[in-house]
Amino acid sequence: MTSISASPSAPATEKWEVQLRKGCLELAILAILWEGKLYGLEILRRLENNSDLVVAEGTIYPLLSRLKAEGLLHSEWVEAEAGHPRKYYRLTSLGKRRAVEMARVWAEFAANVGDLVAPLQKGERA
Amino acid sequence: MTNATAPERRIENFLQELRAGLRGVPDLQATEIIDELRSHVRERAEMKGELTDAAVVAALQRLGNPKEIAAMYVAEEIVTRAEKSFSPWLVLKGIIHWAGISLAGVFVFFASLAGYLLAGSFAISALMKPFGPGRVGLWGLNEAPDSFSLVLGPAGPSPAGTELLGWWIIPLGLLMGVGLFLLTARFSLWSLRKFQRMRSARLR
Repeated sequence: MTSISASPSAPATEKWEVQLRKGCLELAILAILWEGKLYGLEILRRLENNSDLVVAEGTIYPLLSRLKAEGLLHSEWVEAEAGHPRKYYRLTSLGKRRAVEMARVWAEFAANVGDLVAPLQKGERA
Repeated sequence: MTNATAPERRIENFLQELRAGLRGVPDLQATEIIDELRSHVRERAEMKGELTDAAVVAALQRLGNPKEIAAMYVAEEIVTRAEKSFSPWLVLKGIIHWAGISLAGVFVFFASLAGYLLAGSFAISALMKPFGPGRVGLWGLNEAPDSFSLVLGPAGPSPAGTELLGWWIIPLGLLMGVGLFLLTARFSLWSLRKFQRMRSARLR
C-alpha cells in the first residue's frame, strides 16, 4: 500500500531543513551567549561545533546588530593582546529573559513533535 | 595604507565595497561595522599563522558578498528608524529596496502605497470640507436604478446625487485617515520585519 521512497536529501526536504535552521538561529545565539560574553568569530565557532546551524559567516553580524537594537544584547570593544580589538556581545537582562522563554517554547515544541514522529522512525527501520 | 601588503589591501578593498553599500547607516555605526568585520577577517586569516593572500581569500569567501552583508545592515537600519518615526517615506523606501528582490516585496509596496494614499485622501477630504462645503463630500450616485456608486472627496462641481455625510465628513474622514494610516504603517513594518528576519538568518 504505502511506498516510501528513500531520498533523504531531496530538494524539498533540503528547503524545509533550511527554514527549520533559520528559525533556530536566534535561539542558538542567545543560548551560546548564556555562559558569558563572546565575540563574533567565537559565536560562529560554537555554532559550527555544537550544531548544524552553519551560517554564511557575514550574515551573523547584521543579526547580532539586530539583537542588539532589540535590546537583547549588549556589546563592548575589548583590546586583544594580538592587536585587533574585538567586539564582545553579552546578554542583557531582557536577553536572558527572552532566552529562557524561547528555550521553554523550544523544549515543549521539540517534545511534542518528537512524540508525533516517533512512529515514522519505527517505520523506517522496519 | 601605502605600506600595506597585498593581503591587507585585499581586506581593505572588500571593506571599502562593504562601506559603499552602507548608505543611510550613520557614520559612527558604519565605522564600527567595518572595524568588526576587519577584526573578523584578520583573525580568521591569521589562524594558521601568517597573513597570506590565500588565507585572506578563503576568509572573505566564507564571509560572503560584501554588497549583501551591507544590504542586510541597511535594511535593519531602515526598519529601526521607520519604527521610531512612523514616516511613510522611510517605510516605502525600505520596502522598495525589498521589492527589487522579490514579488512579495512588490505586492507589499503597492498595498502600502495604496493604504497611505487612501489614508491621505480621507484626511484631505476632511480638512477641505470647511473651504468648499458644497464641493467636498461623499455622494451616492443613482445613475441607473440598479447601480450605486460612491464618489468621495473634493469634486469639481457637486456631483449629481445624494450627499451622504454632510459635516460628519470631518470627524469621520480624520478618524478613517488616521486609522488607515496606523493600520498601513503597522502592516508595512510587520512585513518589513518579517522579510528582514528571513534575510538576516539566511543560511548557506
